[in-house]
Amino acid sequence: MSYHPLAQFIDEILVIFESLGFEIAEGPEIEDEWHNFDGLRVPADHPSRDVQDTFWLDSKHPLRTHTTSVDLRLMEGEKPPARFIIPGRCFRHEATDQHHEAQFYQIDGFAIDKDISFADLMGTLEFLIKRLYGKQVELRFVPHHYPFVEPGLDLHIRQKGQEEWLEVLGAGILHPEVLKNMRVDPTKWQGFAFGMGVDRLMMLYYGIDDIRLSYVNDFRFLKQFKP
Amino acid sequence: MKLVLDWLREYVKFEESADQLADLYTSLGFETTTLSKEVIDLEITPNRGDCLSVLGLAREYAAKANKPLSLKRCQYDFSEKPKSIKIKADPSLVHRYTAAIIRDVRIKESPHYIKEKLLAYGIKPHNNLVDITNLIMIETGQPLHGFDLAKIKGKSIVVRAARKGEQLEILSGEIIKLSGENAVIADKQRVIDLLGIMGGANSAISESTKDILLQAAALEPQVIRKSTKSSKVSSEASYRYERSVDFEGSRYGISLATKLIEQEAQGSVEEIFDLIIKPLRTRSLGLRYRKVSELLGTRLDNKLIRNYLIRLGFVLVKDSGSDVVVKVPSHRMADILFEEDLVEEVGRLHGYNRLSRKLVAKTSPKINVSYQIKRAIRVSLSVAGFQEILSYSLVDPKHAQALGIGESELRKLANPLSPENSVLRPSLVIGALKSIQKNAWWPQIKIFEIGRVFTKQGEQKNLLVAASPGFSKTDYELLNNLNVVRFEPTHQLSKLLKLRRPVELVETSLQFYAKAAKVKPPAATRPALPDITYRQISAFPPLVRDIAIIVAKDIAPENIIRTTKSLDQRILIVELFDEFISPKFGKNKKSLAFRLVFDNPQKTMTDDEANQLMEKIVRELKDKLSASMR
Repeated sequence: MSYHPLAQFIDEILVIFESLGFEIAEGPEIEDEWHNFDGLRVPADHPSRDVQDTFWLDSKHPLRTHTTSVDLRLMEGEKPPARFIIPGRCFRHEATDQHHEAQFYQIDGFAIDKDISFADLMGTLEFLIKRLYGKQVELRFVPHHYPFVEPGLDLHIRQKGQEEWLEVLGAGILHPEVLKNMRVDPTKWQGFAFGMGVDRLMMLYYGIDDIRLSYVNDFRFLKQFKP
Repeated sequence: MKLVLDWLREYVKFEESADQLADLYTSLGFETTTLSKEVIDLEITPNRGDCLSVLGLAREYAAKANKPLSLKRCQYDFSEKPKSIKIKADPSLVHRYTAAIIRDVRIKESPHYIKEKLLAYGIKPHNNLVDITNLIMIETGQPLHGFDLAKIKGKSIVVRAARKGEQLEILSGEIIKLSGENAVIADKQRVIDLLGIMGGANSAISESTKDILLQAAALEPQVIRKSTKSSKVSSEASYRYERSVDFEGSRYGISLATKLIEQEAQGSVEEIFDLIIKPLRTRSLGLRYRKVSELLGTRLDNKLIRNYLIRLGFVLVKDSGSDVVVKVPSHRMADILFEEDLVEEVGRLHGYNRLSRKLVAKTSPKINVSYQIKRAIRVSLSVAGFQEILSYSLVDPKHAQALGIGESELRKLANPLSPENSVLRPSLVIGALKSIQKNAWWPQIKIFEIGRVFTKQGEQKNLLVAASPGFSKTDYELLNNLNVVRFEPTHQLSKLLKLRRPVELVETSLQFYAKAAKVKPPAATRPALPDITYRQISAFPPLVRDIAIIVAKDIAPENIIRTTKSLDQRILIVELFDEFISPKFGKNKKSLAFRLVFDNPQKTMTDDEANQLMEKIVRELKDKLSASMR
């Protein structure tokens, strides 16, 4: 098989979530301000906007900075309970070097149900990480602020023999205002959401040290990933 | 935010090392790295403006470690209104104006202990007055500014929106053209301060300054954000104001600074006042105890929940046994607004890693058919020997124009990083040709890409299949009915990209291809991730060699690939490109052809080096597998 390692890694994660009942969904790469920002409680007049430097086509349309934008879109046409897993290309207004890319892939996922909690979220993320990196990987959950979730967390992992913890994804319980923006009644439903940058997860898996290699398509790189 | 441990010690007692403190703060939600035995560096998320100070971080430590926080003692008698100056302030801009008038200060170099603290934080020392205001801002989170009192015309301070046409030279020397988006302080005659961001040069403290007005204001965060965005000036002060400064912090901040000025600049306080312009509306929030277990999925004792909140500075208003009502402390007014915020505080102090975890209950899977078809296309093209690529979405408009796609058709970025990456790709052809150029050393290139393309009509999922120098007969069969386009090296885009070989390609919408090629969702499951050891690729060109061998029919090509690659680090890729059985090779024999890529991280691969590697491989295959060369 001659898959791109990133595309294959995305598929690996999708299959794990499909096995848990998550449905794959996609959305547009050119977004509007509501779905990418305001609907997720990232207003223009708040510094939380600065965390994600953004490419704009015009004053109302960014290139999406995360596939979390699709969470809102999906629930415009769905009723809970719902489970989706959303892969896609995202963009960040950032100069490119070994560790930074202006484009990257994200997988975002969410589940809304009557009684989904932080325990389900952390347990599910642990299941994912151990499926990908093996049983011996260590996990650490720490609080983190994302405006669209409350409580929020970051997941750090440490592989065997490594000293440093690496931040691999962000997640949390969907904020009641975001549920409202999804047209879901927060007094009846709750849910979790998570988002992960796949480029870095894939690089960690294979031990790749330059994020740009994924997009220049050198056969010396691509053809190494054959079973 | 850098935190000097000795400075933290002025507020809380602790035994932990820098590494242990880094772990503690990380567990509270501040990702922390240890810079030295004495300094740690914390990431403060935009919701936690209260932690952009030694005091704020000391509070967090005290709450987590359940230890007392000791504030410094320094008492001044604040009057409610100023006596010797007039203040007119717009309450939509400024909520509180706490200030001191200090006479006969001596401006000079700061003492060593002040300079040292500032340098550890990363601020360059200036003079004792400026240094003290910076020092106290870092310590308490309250931005301070000192004006030269003699330069305030008419002893009048007016806080208002700026007017179009006004301008101000700020301390950095920059001249800012103001607009209604900015808020300023003006005196009787002119603008003297870009509110919350930076003071004006016309009212700045200089070596000859004698009397000062020292200000500690509480400002409206959105006003300062708007003003920094439009003026493109920011500072340590505006960074804090944008993230909200504690309404109740101004008296403490100005008291510490005034005391230090008395001590280090020999000033004497003439008056100190605290003018409240827009009183803080306190907030009480209810928390249902059961909400904690509903959200966290872990049951915590009611008493424990209540104690966590009290340790974090929430004041107990009432506890009904099922609900608790607390008053939000003034320094958390900006980020504690919902019941869920209180749940996070409880979880945070308890420690996320002490909460229970469970895998979400499985539900029956739902299949996304169009994604399945995309997977099927990837399988079929990959089996046919096409390498999947992913190329950049942002391209050079010149390249698009070389494809005959005019400027008016392109989706342009308003803020590109560079002109070469300023439009969204209208076609996958640009990326494909770049990839082919990148791999010009490879004899027969076959690639495909699935990705979005963008035109004025919108975005669309496309498929591109390409081969260089061209498709084979079997490729044509796979791509039947599809329109193959040929790019000669003389094509304008091929010339721009310096391609020396022709390229044949097909680009269609993914949907159209699925229909035309009659793609069915894959029956087989996808292969597992390859079990490989990734090797770094060289910055220098590789060399390619082919080898054809005859071996026993039962030898798996994968074994040969593994054996060959393990012979030498420079044997980077071994790819099977032909396999067939024929009686002319002998009984139970087959022919295998491999493409080999030799890559040397240190230098360009030479023919001599490649020949030596070939000899080594041939010897190994003969010895171990009794292979014969064709």
